Amino acid sequence: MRKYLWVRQILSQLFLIIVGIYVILPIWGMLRLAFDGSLLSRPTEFRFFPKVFSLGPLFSVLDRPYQSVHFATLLKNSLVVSLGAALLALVLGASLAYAFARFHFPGRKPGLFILLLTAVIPPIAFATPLYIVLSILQIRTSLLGLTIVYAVFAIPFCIWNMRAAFQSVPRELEEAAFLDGAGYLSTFRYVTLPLALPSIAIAALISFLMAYSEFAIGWLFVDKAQTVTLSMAIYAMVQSGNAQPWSILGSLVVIMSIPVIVIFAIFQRTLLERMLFGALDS
Amino acid sequence: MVKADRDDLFALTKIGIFSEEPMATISVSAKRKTDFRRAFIPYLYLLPAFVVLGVITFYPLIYQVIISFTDFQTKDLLLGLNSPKLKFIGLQNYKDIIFGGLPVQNFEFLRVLVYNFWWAITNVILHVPAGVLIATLMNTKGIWFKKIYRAIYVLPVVIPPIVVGTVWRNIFDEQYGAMNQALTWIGQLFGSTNVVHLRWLAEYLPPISWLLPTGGLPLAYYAMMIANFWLGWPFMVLVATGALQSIPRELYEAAEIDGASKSYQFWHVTVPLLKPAMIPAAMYGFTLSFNLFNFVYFMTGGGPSRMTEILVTFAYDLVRNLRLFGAAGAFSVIIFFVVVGIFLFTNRLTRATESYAES
Repeated sequence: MRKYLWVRQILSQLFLIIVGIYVILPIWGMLRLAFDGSLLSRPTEFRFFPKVFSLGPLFSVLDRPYQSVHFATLLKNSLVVSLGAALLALVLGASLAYAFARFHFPGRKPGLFILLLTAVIPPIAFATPLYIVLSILQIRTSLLGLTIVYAVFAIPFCIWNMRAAFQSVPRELEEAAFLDGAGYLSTFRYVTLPLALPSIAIAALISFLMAYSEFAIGWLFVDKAQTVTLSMAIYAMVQSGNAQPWSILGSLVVIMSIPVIVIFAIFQRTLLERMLFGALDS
Repeated sequence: MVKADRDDLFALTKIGIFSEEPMATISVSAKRKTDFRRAFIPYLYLLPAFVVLGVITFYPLIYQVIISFTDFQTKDLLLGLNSPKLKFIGLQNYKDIIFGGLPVQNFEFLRVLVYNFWWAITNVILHVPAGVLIATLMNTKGIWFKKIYRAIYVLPVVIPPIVVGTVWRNIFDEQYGAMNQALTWIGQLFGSTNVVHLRWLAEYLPPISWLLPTGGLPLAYYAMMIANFWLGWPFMVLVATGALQSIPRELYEAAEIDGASKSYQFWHVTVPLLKPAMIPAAMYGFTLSFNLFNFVYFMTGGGPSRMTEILVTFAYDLVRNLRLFGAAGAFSVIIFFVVVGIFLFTNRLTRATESYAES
């Protein structure tokens, strides 16, 4: 029996290590590109470590503008748009999700049905009229327009994710708070919100990531270089037939990941790990 | 005061001007007022989101349907439906798409549709079991280094998808990509001097030509499956872990006492109890892969020769490069119906499993 357990442990470890390598290898490859000072344009041989370790490519990204737009502006645009979109999606999504989770009102079922339906319709399916609508509102090529559009793309996921969370908050807790004299808002603030927080954090992260990496729809609408986001710039760079050295592309991608990893690191201990893999050892 | 009113009313009824009823309506209408306020609250929650959704989603959707019956062109773009040159051409756009009348090379509607379904199904078939397997392993007691694995496995979730796309596109580059270089390197370990030169994303001759009735799958499909697997399985781990932890431990203990082996426990306790959680997740994953625009467009742009094109990437191409807005509108309406069909089907399936779980 004991021997059998050992065999199982080793097999599991082997499997988990292989999966781990599969996950890490692409990221590692990109890091290697980003820190390799010896690369002139493209890698010509397979290697695990940079030939010459250097921070050169990383810094050269910072003073290489995209069509006269400085890198800092691109990053700022990206962050403004995605943080704004995440926030807007969260507020609108939370109010929708809460209404559908807590109240019974006429039109609830068809409303929910329509919302779930919009969740499955790809945004591409109404790109042309959206272009016209945004032109009419005169926000087509502005950061505000991008923020609103990206927020709307993220709302269905927010509802999907948060409605379940609100439903799982015991109704008795809310009623107890009411009886103690708390109003709607303070009940939400002190009872519902803390209990649903892990799901809300996930929704926020996913909304942020969606907006942060979106390039195609934005690319249709934006016609000023000043409002281009980082992911659009990366797409343009990849699209231009790889005229740029790959170490630059690698560095750009690494820099782009930094804000996400910082945000994740802030959340990680408390929320995401619990949400992702549960409290496994307890 | 109230009493006086009542008395007055009573007097009035006595006279016969008012019956007993007005009194009743007064109290009901007061109650109705609070009822009305309470009934109003949910709509207050809905209002802001529905206003935004109305402008950004619902209105454009209706607009798109109208456009789909016209020959909408670039010059009409800024004027919208007020454009003087707009011509209604009936169902012509729809006919063009389905019977191949579009001025577009290498496009057959049926082939793209079949490929799209195949792409979504194969993705889900790979992601779900992988997610369940890894979640089960990570949930087994006494496995070492769980924390390290957890920290690694979370990476695909937190790295921006466009970064993932860039990374994999570079890996599968035919000349400088790490995949070919790694294969060459492995070959050298075994004494081969050949330089591997697989055209991962550009080769259009399918390696296995009989796999789909509408033509084989290009190498790019396999490359994208590898890359999208990287992106997709952690979500399934997430769902499976949640479901696994809600399975009562007593069930396993009971099975153990009855002498059931581990694999028997897995197939007869774990799998049936995972089903209610995994089927909706699989449906969600299916819709997600079916409409996986950004990744596909970034990796191959639908190429080589539109062989990895899915519906949404073609719709985008119609708008952005071909500028056939009318046809794009019709195509979007078709996508809408396909997607709604999938939605209704999966909804029914999910609901069926729900009742299965409750019974």
